[in-house]
Amino acid sequence: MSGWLLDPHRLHWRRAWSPGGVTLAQAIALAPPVAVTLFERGPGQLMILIAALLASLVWELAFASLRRRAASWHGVTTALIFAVMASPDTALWQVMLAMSFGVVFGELVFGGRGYGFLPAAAAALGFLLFSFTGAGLAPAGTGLVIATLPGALLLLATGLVSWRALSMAAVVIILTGVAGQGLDGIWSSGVWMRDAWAPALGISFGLVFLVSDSLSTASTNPGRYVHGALAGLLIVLFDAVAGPDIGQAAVVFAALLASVFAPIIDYFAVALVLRRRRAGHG
Amino acid sequence: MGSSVFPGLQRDRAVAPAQSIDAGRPVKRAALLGVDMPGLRPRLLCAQGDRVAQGQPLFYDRAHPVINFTSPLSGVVQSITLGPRRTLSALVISAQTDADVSDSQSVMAPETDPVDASSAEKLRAALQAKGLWPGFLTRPFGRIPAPDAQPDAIFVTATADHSHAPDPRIVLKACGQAFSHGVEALTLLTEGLVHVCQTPGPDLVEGSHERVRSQVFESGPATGLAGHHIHLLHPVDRQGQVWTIGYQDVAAIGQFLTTGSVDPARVIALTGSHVRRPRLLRTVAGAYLPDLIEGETRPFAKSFAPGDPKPKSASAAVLSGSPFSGRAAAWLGRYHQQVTLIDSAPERRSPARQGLLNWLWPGQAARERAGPGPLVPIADLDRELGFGGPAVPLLRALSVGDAEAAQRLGCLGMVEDDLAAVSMICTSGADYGRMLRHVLDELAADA
Amino acid sequence: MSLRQHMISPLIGNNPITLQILGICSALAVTTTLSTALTMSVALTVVLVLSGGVISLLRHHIPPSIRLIIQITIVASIVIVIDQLLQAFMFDMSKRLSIFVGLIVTNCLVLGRAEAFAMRNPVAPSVLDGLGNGLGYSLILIGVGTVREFFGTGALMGVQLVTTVADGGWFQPLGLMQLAPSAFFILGLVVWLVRVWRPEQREYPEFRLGSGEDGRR
Repeated sequence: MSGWLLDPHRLHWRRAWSPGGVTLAQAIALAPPVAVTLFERGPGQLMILIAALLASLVWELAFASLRRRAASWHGVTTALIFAVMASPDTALWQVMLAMSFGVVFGELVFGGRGYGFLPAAAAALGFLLFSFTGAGLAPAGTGLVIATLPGALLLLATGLVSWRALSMAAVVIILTGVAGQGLDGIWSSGVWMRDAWAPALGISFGLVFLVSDSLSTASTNPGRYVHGALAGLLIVLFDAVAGPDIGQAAVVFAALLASVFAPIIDYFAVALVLRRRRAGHG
Repeated sequence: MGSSVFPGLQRDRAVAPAQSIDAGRPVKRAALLGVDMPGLRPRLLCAQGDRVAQGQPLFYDRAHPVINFTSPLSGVVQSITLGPRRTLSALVISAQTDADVSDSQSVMAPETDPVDASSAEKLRAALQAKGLWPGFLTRPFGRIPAPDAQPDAIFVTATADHSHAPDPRIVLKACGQAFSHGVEALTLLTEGLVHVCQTPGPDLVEGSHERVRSQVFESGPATGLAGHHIHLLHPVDRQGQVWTIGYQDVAAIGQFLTTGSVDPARVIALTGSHVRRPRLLRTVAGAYLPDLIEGETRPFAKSFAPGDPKPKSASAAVLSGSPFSGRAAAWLGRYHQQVTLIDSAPERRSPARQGLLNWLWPGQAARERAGPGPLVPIADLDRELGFGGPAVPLLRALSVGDAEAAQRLGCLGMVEDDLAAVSMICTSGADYGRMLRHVLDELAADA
Repeated sequence: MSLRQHMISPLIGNNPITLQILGICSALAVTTTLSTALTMSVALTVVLVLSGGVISLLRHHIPPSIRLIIQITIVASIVIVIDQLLQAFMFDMSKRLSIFVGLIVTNCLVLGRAEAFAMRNPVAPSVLDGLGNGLGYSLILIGVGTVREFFGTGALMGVQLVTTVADGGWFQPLGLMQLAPSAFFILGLVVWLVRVWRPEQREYPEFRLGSGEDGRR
């Protein structure tokens, strides 16, 4: 019984994003960063990637059989993001445990990708950081930052990453950086005022793929601004690394916490829109 | 229209129709369809095998006996099929084979006296008796209004809901004064304003009654629909009621008041990648589509000239209506402005895969069984919903049947057509129009 | 319900934590080690039994308008006695449990059973109901405590079962287990497993995604 689906002819005729297509676009956007990290960090990172892929595949198949639904391959992007951010000397069993937690509790228990509200990669990385003392994330090099750019442009152009959330987060980070160091301090860091924008750029991978992914931000346009600002604020708050640069761990936890707040941000955004509508029409 | 990067709305491979009105092939049959009047229970005035004349009442609404439904053709009642709970499924009239073929075309009826429509009551009675009343649809709920209902405003939709629909200005140019005459008559039916929502260009109702307002909107799936106009100009909620009526129905009213006879003709666009010469046709509502499109389809050939929009499959699905909001049907819908021939969905070619393979890559049937997919909040969703508000919360409320939340988000001002464009681009593949109807029925029952 | 049923049903069928979702706060706080979990379980069971009995004895004499105050007074008296006993005879344990023994007074489970059962049933069923709920609570607490202590430190009841990496062994303790959120996750998993095993315990939301023609429910 096709129930609530569009009739087959229109379903066949239309050309729309499918959930698998969205994941494919994200995987394409992730390809350059993954390539750069594998090149820079060597075979250890490749083993981590394979372990992460394996863990996500196993749980995907398990849930598909338990819940009697089609298996999908959304776990691939979770594994890719995890492999980029994890440090190459993480033990493989820790990788698999963290990925299992992230994929199961972040996505699969809700019904798969698109039905939940948490970014699964952030949940996996958060588990890794919480559970194992000494576990850390790899710092982002210049190569990674540059490699993020084409993917970010692709996702922004297709509307799969919210430019509102991304820009607000970057703006908040830059403003707090300027406020913290003062304009003199920023100016003294170099002609290009490196200390103003470099922190945001250093965590650009996390900003693009964890914070402003359209599945984890608020789903209303005003809400996306607030979500981005909240994420930026939390990143600055959680930053435990001395100096102007921001640690990667801060992005992970900020993304998690901000996406937990996304539904309530939406609630208030909708209430605001409705109140404005009522006032406008008397 | 449509995002230019990656899949968005279908960038139509089909050619836009030539905006010149041809006489459509005369149809041998026409039908009055139950899907155009859902929930209506008819009391029949004719039986199978009766001879009927064009314009003769065939049945009336059991709940409102003054609202007549008339025949679009002269001929014989071929079949009457009732649906569930004694609603109508279809009433088919076959045209007389030896009668004047131009019966199904637009023909100027013999001169009769102008209709006395000096007062609102007389106008209502005349419209209801002659079968012109079903041209009106209410908001909220999108149903034929009760005979004595008083709308707070009337919206005349003179914009097209799709880029391939007939250009209203070209159609109205052929109608002469009938349109403005009809609009003036509409002012008798309401004490509020009559909004004539038209495409940019010279005012269609210049210098008309003081309660007639001209509003300019672009054609297209987001801005050309009446729901968008109502949302901007006169939002409705539980208490109020506005009516919408299409521009061709208004012209028909105007002509009826002048000449005393109802012209059942209707101009539609024949479009789609399977049509040889997309253009405008004059035909009747309820026309039998296989008759209408006979000889119009292009033969499927393996090779086409480069740049020639070619159909992808050999068989065409015939849709009454635009590709966004139409339905696969054999009869032209009463409110539709287009007939679209698109590639039909492929049958399940390979046999059902067994075991592990089927589990990993389920076929189309399993996908259909599973129901709508997840809703990914891409940016296009907000743009294609012509109501300005946040789209995703509304779609989520509709997906779970939360009538209260949907009403808060403004679903009362919508009908199925308003969500057609969104359904086209949403990742879930859900028919939000159908979900909306389910919610509206629940809200109407609570009223 | 037979007397035996009062004792048996709160174990799985009507478990206070997994079905009634009561008493979660103490389940989070005291389950870092198995010994604290055991002590808390015993303390709560004793409180439940005694309070159930006493309130049931007095049930016809408690004026309805002030019944909550009377119930709290009774429960508080019992808890104070238990707290003093712990401080006298198990001082280390009392220090580790700190305020959580005193907080048994506010445990929704105790007041919940008093209000829902002891106020309207005779003494013997009330005592057994208290005992059953206490045992159900203990079951969950002991399970969670076992998991958390073993995976968090590699020991059980203070006895090191596996050698940790810090001591030159192979076992890497899971730091998350020593934090409160792990109890949430473990409880969630337990509830999930119980409701898979016993489908009659499932709760359904008001609105669900439909997949059939009218398949909203």
